[in-house]
Amino acid sequence: MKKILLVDDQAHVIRVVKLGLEDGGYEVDTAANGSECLVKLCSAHPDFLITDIDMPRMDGKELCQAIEAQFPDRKFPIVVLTSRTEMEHRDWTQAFENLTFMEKPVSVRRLLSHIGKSLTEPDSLASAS
Amino acid sequence: MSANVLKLLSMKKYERMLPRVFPGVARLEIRDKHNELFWSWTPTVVAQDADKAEDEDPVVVWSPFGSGIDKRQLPSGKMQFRAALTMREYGFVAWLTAAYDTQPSVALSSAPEPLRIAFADAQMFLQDDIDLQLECNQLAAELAERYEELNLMYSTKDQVKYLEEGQEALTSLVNNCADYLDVGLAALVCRERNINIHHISVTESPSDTEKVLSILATTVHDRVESQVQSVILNDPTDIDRVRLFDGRDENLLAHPVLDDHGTVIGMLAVVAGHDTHVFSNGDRNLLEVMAKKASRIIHTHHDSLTGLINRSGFESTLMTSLAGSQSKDLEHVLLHLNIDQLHVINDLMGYPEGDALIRRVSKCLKIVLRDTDVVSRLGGGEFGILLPNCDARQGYAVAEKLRNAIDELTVVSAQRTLDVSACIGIAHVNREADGIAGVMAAAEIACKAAKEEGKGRVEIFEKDNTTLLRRSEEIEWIGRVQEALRDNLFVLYCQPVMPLLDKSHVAHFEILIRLRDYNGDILSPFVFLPAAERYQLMPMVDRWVVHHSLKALSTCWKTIAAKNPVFCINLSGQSFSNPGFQPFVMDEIHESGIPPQNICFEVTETVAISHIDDAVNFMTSLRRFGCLFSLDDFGAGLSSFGYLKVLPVDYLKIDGSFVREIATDDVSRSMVEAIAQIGKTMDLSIIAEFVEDKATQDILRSIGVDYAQGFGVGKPAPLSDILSSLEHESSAASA
Repeated sequence: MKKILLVDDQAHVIRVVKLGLEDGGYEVDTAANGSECLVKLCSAHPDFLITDIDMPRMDGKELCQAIEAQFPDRKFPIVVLTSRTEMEHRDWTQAFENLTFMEKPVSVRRLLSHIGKSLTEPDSLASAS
Repeated sequence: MSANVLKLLSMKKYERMLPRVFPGVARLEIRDKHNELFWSWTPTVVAQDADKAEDEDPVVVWSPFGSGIDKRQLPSGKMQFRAALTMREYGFVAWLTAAYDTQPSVALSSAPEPLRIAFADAQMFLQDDIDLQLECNQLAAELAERYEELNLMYSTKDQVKYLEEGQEALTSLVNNCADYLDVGLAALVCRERNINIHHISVTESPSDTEKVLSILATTVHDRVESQVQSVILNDPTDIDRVRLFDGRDENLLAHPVLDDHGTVIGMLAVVAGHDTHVFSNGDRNLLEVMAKKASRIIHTHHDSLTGLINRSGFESTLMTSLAGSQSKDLEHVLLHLNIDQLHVINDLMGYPEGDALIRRVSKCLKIVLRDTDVVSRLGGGEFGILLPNCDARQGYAVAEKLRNAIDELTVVSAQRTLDVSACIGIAHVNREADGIAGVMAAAEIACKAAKEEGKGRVEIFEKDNTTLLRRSEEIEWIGRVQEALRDNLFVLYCQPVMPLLDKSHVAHFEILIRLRDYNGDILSPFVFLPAAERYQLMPMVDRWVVHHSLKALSTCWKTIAAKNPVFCINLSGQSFSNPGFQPFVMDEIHESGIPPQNICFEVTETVAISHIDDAVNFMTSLRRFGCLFSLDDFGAGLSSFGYLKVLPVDYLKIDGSFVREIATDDVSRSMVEAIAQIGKTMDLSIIAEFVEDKATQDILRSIGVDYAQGFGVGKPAPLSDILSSLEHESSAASA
């Protein structure tokens, strides 16, 4: 079973997305912020990472930068989710490879379809809306 | 299922809580119904021993100990007690076992009260926790559903510009319905608009899709149309399954697509396997929203009365054809058809009858024309028809055929029978065509020219035809007048009107309109007002003039109050019959703070007579409000002094053609004298226009004319200049 690490500080988002992903046949582990996620990444890498942007301690942008620095050859794709509308929150995501930006409230159906595509056709990445 | 239920529990808190519920307990554990260990607890100090002890002899059987508790004694002497954990909806899910190093009370033949209470409490805590978790998960699932719906609504676009874009938007709407509702088939069927779009799911499509689609387009569509509400088939025993759905076992949800008037124009339907999807209220509501979106897309390009494509859809089609004619050198014909005297039918028989006629004409057009021809309702009784791959001769033949077919129609209502006819203008769409606007205007101009010839005529647009050319220029001016209204390109000028007899008479000024063109040149109203008159733009022009005049005057209200001049504003006949114009004028005057008696409205004699009832009403109301009225160009038109008795005016303005020749022509002089005489008798002040020299002024004075206006008195100048010189004079006088 493919493993997804889901990072969000809001329990209800975790619950909604986790349930949807589990229904979609994935095993889901969670972290409440960027630093908790980094700790988990040190012991094992998931097949896919989904992270929020606005989080206490270490936000999504810092997390992505830390991942880039610590694991430059990471294999797992990342999806960044946010309800923030500002363009600068989309702009920084452009700099990362194998990383896609999606808006909240998220459609789990769309998320699952994106994850499915990313895991089966790794080259078709970064094409989600 | 029960294993999943246990997973909802986060056991960390129970490691502190449950040992307190079972005082002195040596080990607690929860095992699922397959006896797999889910959770265990032992006091830290004895943890390892206890773990070993647990497997000592699993074959020792349990025996009932009363109150739903079992007990057994292991060879080591340890006593174990267990009770089944049962959860609402799931029944038995696990065993909770408590082990003690020594028997709590060997002598007891049934479970002691503290043990019974401990198990009951543990059951209650775990049950409540699981219930709460399940509730949260249900809420989360519900929320996820709403998120899906939001995403579906946000990602389904309903605003489109071009016709092709509309088709794409409808296709993607149908696809989204199928994907999001997770159904085997989704279809949008609007029979009258020739729309039939469907999406079939790869995995769950119903067998024999063609058959399902044909049932949807017939019996289901009919039912949705007749009951104007959704049709849902969830119940396998529903009798409608046989009536509507050929007895099929799939579930069905169909929702009507309505037009602006609430008439069903089609339906959006989804079909799912009987066992995979039972349609809920939520699904129906969602489909309703999607049906509304579909309606919005369809009506961007379709006319709701006839179901034909509308002007914007037609322009879109025409654009494609025009591109084709330019790149592939194809020749098409554009017809502009206008039902003759539709307004008479509307007036005599009412709008429903007029609308019914428009629908009949549209059906008639569809019958005569080829499937490849494009028919559109441009508005009112006007239709645009594109005949692709057609030369002028064939186009003319088609136009004649249409004209004859429409000639056959009659309208009968309340013992009245009216013949129906239509005029048709023809324009070529070829390599030389002058853009969409040019082609559309050409056909429209030809149609208008046909109408001028009479009813039921066909006219071909030809560039060298001078009548058509004049129309063509007028049409260009329509655009410029509209642009001037929008971008405030009009400029107000003002011409003084001088008192001739009595210096105590107040000064008059006539406000005039000009148009500033692209080069900054000031254009005379003779250039643009005829087009504005012909195409009913005068009410808007008049509103512009009234608003901007009063706005300018309000800036020097003090001077106006002190010197009491009268400013004359020209009005057209179209404005009298324009609803809301009179209150508009009153509001504007009120807001400007200018006293109504300083405003005089000029109306030409011909205009006042041709709109006599509206003119009298308008004049009476505004005079009561305090405004003055002047009858312009008096003597030029169908002059009848009799009208003077009916029209409530304060001033008579003698037509300039008499005034100009007053010094040389006796007849003109006599006319002016007569008008002045009558005016005096009726207590009206007389104004003479076109006064170009001193001699004319003297004659007018001798006749008893009160005011003079003309180049000899003062040339028109920008209103702002006149107002500043007025202010200047006023301040000089007070100084």
